[in-house]
Formats: sequence, C-alpha cells, structure tokens
Amino acid sequence: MTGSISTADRDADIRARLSILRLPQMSPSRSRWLFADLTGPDAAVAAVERLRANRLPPEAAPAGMDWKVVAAWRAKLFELDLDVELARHAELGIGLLSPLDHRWPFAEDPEPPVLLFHTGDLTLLRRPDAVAVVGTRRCTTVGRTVAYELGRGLAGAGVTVISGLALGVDGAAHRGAMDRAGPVIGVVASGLDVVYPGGNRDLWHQVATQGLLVGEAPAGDRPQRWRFPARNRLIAGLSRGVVVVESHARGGALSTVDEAIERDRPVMAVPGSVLSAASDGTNGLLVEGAIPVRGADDVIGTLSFPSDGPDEPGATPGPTAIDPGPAAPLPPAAGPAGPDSARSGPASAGSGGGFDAGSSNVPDDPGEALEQLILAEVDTGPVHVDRLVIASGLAPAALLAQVQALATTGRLIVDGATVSRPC
Amino acid sequence: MLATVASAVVQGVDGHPISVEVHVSSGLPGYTLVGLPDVSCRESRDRVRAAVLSSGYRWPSRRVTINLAPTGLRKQGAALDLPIALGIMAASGQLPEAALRRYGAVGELGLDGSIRSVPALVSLADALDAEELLIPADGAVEAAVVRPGAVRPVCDLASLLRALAGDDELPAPLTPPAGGQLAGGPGGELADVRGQPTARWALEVAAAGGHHLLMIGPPGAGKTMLASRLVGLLPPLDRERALATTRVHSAAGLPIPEGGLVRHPPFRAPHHGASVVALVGGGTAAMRPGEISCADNGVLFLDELGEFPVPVLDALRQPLEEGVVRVSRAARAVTLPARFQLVAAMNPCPCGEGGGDGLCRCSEPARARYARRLSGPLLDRFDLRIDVRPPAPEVLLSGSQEETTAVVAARVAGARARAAARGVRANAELRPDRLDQVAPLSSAATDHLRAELRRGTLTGRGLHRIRTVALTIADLQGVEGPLPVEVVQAALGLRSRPRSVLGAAA
Repeated sequence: MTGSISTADRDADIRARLSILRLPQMSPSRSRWLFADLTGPDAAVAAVERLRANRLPPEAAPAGMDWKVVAAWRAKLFELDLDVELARHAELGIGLLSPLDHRWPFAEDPEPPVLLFHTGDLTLLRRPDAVAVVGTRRCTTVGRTVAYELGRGLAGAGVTVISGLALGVDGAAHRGAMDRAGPVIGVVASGLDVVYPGGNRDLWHQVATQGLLVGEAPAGDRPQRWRFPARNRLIAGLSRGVVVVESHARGGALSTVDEAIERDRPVMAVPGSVLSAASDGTNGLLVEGAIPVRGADDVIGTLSFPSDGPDEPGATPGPTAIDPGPAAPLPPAAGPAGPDSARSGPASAGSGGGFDAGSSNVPDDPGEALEQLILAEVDTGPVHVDRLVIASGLAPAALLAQVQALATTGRLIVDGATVSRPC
Repeated sequence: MLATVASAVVQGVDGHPISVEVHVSSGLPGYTLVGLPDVSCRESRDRVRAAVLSSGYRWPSRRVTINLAPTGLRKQGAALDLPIALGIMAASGQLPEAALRRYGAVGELGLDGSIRSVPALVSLADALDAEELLIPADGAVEAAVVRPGAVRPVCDLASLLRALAGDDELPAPLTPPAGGQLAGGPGGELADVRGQPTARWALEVAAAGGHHLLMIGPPGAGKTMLASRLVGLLPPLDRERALATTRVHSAAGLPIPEGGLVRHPPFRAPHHGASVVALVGGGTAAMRPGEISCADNGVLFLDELGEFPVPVLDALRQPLEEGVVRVSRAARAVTLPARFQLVAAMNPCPCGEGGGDGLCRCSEPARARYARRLSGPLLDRFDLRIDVRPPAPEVLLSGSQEETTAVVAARVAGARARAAARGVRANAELRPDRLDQVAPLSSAATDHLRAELRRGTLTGRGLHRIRTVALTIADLQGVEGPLPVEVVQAALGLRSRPRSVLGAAA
C-alpha cells in the first residue's frame, strides 16, 4: 500500500488532516462527517476540498449540527497557516503519524483518530503484546499496590503496559512498569505539550523518554472533558486486552471497557472487596463475565503471550515481582509444598547466613521456620511489621532483614511497613 | 564631667563589648542618647530617670549626652539601663568615677530601682571587657558559668550605688555550681512505648547514629510520644557543647536550668504555624536565634510536617547540610549554630487514615498536594523513615515490660563511642568518601544492594545513606568487620517508602 504513495501525497495528507484537527469545535463525530463516503489514500485531501467548496453531505451530519459551525470551519481553512503549525510540532518534538504510514496502528479500528501525535519510541506500536491497565483515579492503597505490581510483573515479562497517565491506578501501573524498565505507552487526552494532570508531570516526561506518548490532539489543545472518553477508545484500540484494577460503579475506566468490547478485546478485572466502593465497578464487570485476574501471570495466561520477555532471559511465568537473581524464581508463597528446586533461590540472592539451608524442605532450620511464620502471618491480608516482630519474638533488626530478603526474591510485597503476599 | 562604663550587646549568639560614655555638662537640661540605639534602648531614659529618683539620688538638671561606642553597631533592648544609670551617677559626681573602673555592667532597671535580668547573659558576660561583672541576680548563674568568680549578682540600684561608694559591701562573687549529678533524663520514659517494636528500635538507631527520622502514621499512632523519647536516649552534652547550647538558649531568652548550663540535649517542637524567621532566626535587631538554633546539639521535632509551609521546610535544607544557619539582613549578617537532629512526623494524607485499611476520605489530588509538600531533597535527608501504626490493643493490655530508657541509652552510648573512634560524633556525619574505609560491605551485602539498585527501589543517593545506617546498626549490635547482609537489609527496612504517601521513587 505504501509503495504506491508518493512523498508529496503523504505530505498533502498530513497537512489536510492537521487542518481538520485545527478547525474550531472539532470532535471525533464531526471529523467522521467530514470523511463521510470518502475512502482511499486521498480521503483527507478530498474532505478538505469538499469543505472548502461547501459540499458536505447534509444527510450524514451528526445530530444537532449547527451550520454556523461549518461557516466558521471554512473561514478557519482560509486563515490557517499549516507551515507554522508543522514547525510548531517539530519544535516540540512531536511527530505526526497518518493512516498512510505503514506503522499506523488503527487500520482495523472502527473509530480511528484523524492523526496520531507521538513522542518517544514509535517502534513500541509494532510490538504485538500490549496490555492496558486502567482504573479509577480515586483508588485505595490496595488498588495502587496491585496496579504497581501488575505493571512491574507485565514489564518483567516484556509486555508493553498501556495506560492513560491519570492519577491513581493509571500512574501506579506505569510507575511499576518503568521501575522495571519495561516498555510503556501513555495515551493522553490533551496535546502532548500540555501536561495533565500536573501532579504526574514527572511520570509524563519519564514515559516520553523511556517509552511512547501518544494522543489525537494537536499541540496546545487543552484536555477538555469530552476528550477523556475519546482517549479511552485509543487505549482500547492499541491494546490486546484491558485490565481494570479498581473502578467505582461509574467511571472512565468503564468507558474503556465498552470500547474494548466493541473492538473484541478481552476485558479483565481484579476482584476486590464487596465492601469497597472503589471495587464496585470491577466486581460488577466480573459478575457480567469479565475475566478475573489476580496479577500479571493471570493476564499473561489469558492473553497467551509468550511467557518470557526479551529482557528477562531467565524469567518463567513465576511470581510477578521477581528480581533477576542468579537463581530461578520461586512460585508464589502458596504453602509449604513448594518445589524443592526453587528453595535455593532466596538463600543465594538474599542472605549470606541465617536461612542458607539450601534444598531442605523441613522447617527445622530457624531461618526456614521464620520464613514460614512470616508467610503464614501475611496469608490473611497485609500486616504491619510490628505484628511480625511480636509474633516472631525476634529483634526488629533480624526480622526486618528477613522481610527484606523475602521482598527481594518477590515472596513478599513491602509497602512502607505494610507487608503482604504477592498478588 | 565624663564617665565610661563597660557593657555589651548581643547579635545572634555573639556578644560585642561596648562602652557607655556619659557626659554631663552645663547647658539647658536635656538628655541625648547617640550611637545607634533602637527604640527600646532609647526608652531607657525614662526608666533610668525614675530608677535614679526612686533610689534616692538626684537626676542632674544639666545637659546629659550619652554615647554608645562603637557607634556603628546597633544597640537593642534594655540591657544598657544599668550601665547608663551608673555612668550618669559618676558623671554627675554622685559616685566616685574610680569606683566604676573595674566593673562592667548589664541589666534592665525597673522604675523602683530594681535590677532585672535580660536575655543572652551568657554571651554578654563573655564579651564584657572588665575585671568584674555586675549582673542582675536573676540570671547571674548563667553568667557565672562563663566568668567563674567574676560575677557579682546585684538586685537593686540603691544598694548597688551604696556599695560602689564604699558605704556597703558588694555581694560576693558567684562561683558556678559544681557539675553534680544530672537530675532525671529529659523527655519521657521509653518503657511507656509498648507494642511498637519497630518504632522503638528506629528511635534507638536514630539516637545512636544521629540520623534524621521521619515518622508517618495516622493520628493517635504515638508519633509525638515516640519523638519526645528520643532526647532521653541521647548522651548528655559534654561541657563544650553544653556551653554552646546554653549560649544559644540564653540569647533566645529561654529559661536556663538550675546550675546555669543546658546539659541535656534540647528538644524543640515548633508548631507548624511557625514562620521562616521563627525557625531560622534573625527577627529583631539582636538577630535572635530561631528554633533550629535552639535545637543545636539536640532534637528539632516538626510535628505535622505536611502542614508546614513549603518555604519554611525549604529553609531547613541549608542548615541541615552545613550545621549552621547564616542569617543576612540589609545591615548585618550573623552565623548561628544549627547542628540539630531532625525528627518529623506526618499523617499519610490530609485526613490521616491513608495508611491502609481503606478508610481514607481524601481525593487523589489532595493526597498528591500533601505529598508534594515534601520536596525530594528534604525527603532525602531522612535516613530513617518509618510507618507508625497504633499498637494492637492486646499488646497494650498484656502488661509486658519493654526496655527502659536507661538500658537503651547505654547501648546508644556504646555505639556513639565507636563512632567517636572514627572521629565523628555520630555516623550520620560520615562523609561518603570515608565510608569505603570505615564501613566496607561484605560481598553478600554488595550483591543485595546491587539487586536493589537494579530493581529501582534504591537510588544512588539513597545508597550512601543506607550504608551509614547499616554501620550504625552494626555498631549497636557490636558487629565488627565488613557489614553483613542482614545489617544492610535491616537498614533498608528502616527506609520505608510507602507508595501511597511518597510516590514510587525514593
């Protein structure tokens, strides 16, 4: 397809599309109207010509369309200086990707964006394994931890984590993935130079440098309210599946779910307490048939991705927060019947003494016994380290050291002084 | 006639000798005070006049000119009342001029002729350029600490003038009280803290290594109670530091304990409404020391750290780095001591319930705003960061006994002795370049830290602090040689980074 299109055509296409996006009060439904009945590589140029000649098909107009807007569009077409617009994007380091490009990811999408603005590593679009991790901005501590560990786990398996750079679940998932130096794509609702929300400024820039930042709004566009649901369709379109970590009964994450269903993407949800309002939406999804997932393993299993990622040669589908240690990772702390071969893992990576008992499965070694005691304590939910100190009767120094060793090997999650088992 | 009396003024914590020159001459009755006096100093005229008359002496109905030399230095406060009164008495011939020659004086006068104490007597006595000092009896002990055997405590102008004229005996010079036993430790008893073993141990490590400590926890978790226990664990001040701290406290007008020396590490807990000036000092012409200087050689406790205005918190950064605070105003600059140990407490979020448990009622932006108060550089200074939770009720009711302050303080003293052998007061003062030499890592510990760095849970900056804390833990446990991995892991456990509060990176 690309072979038959000349550079000049391509340039004209991008200019036509950018001018459409710059029209006042433009929205996805209005831009679809501009393209109505037009197909092929010159659709955008033809759409602009048709608007200039005032020959838009009235029967395809979106409901409630005000024809004064069309007059304003035509006026804008005459005064728009596309050279300035293009120079501005180039100056900001923002690239423009059009459907004529062979890297265009929305070829089969029912509602593709007019243009995709991008900054960062564009090759990430070509990776086949990408999962969206989304959820409420008003998440609980549990939700944040789950999102973070999910991000880490997926990154550890080499899976690209897509999210919306919002506060709460979105940001936590990206932070987890980037802490593991994994591939990330941030899909934003504003122009790529308009950071929103301000609280995630560092994350925004980190995603742009370490991964890929994309959006359908040209530079300078504010994140208007309608842009967020529109953005959610891009998240769904770019991913192979959508995981909702926490969502209230109504929320933006559920609109991402609707878009994913429309695009035949599997929808996964993390179960939460039925007493937690922040899990009302996700639990509702599960009732309606979404796939329950507890962590990155379940996600990878659901999407049947290849289990080991390119940057983790030793990793197997094990626990989600395993460090690349010298030994094979361990299964999650399921119980005392774990396979022997894995027992040497934490000892060689973690502690020089104390629980170096190697392959013995019998908890007569004091280190081993302590390990079992800690794992048993966290089995019923997160606990504060004070409780572990009291339960073990050890000095805090010894206990904290053991907890750290277990955290390093991924058998415990430590958030502040709160210790829980991996999800 | 002319008379000169030695006196002193204070700026910051340093005294400066001045001489009060009084000239009484014929001419229209009048009173002129020159030499950069401020308003409170200028008011001395009315106090001195009333005090002289109340004491039964005459006020010269002639031209009185008073010069405070050197004239370039701003004079502030009422401490010059007494030398001015003495100078006028001598210059008007009511007191033999020779009688004043060996004395320097400071003190405020009451209208009835009583002599009242003034702030900063330690610094003033130190600076007074005279053989013997006439010091208000209220604060004479402070002055006697720096000028033993030279301080004569005086109570009222009438008897002082009589004694100077030779009609009476001057009060005998004060000798500073002998060291003696320290009366009970400051702060509370550590044994009262029950069911929070990690926090207790963090306090011990903080005391042993001089590490700054941040406690995060919901209201009622006992953060303030814990913080007040820290000073009791610190070793008492040696004479040199006690003197330095006493000087600051005296300059700030804080009460000085009996015996005239501040011998326990001070504990200062300014409210979060405190202004920058209240914290770093320099509010008045005397450049009064602020709270951080008052906490010199002791503990500065900032409760509700998240409620302090950002400029106030940022003002702490330079003193934390350098151990002194330089306060500059248009006309003058002073350097105040500020070598304090910072202990801070904060809630996990504005509503205070964000630690876990899902009880938090804060919106995400509110939490983000709250966490942003703590700039990264400030957060970096806290070597120890712990999550504090209220102890479980069954532990409180069990009646189990915890170690007392005295037992823990003994271990702390042992660890401090090992730090002293390295040439620092506490491990927190060790420079990064010396760490390799005094605290080498075992190979297992190196592996563990490398893994943490790779995992992204530790930054390069954090690495140095972790090693310092690990060294302190080793000191407390009496571990010799390269730092074993358990000690490093324990240090990591004391550098908690709850994601819900501090974001992901730390």
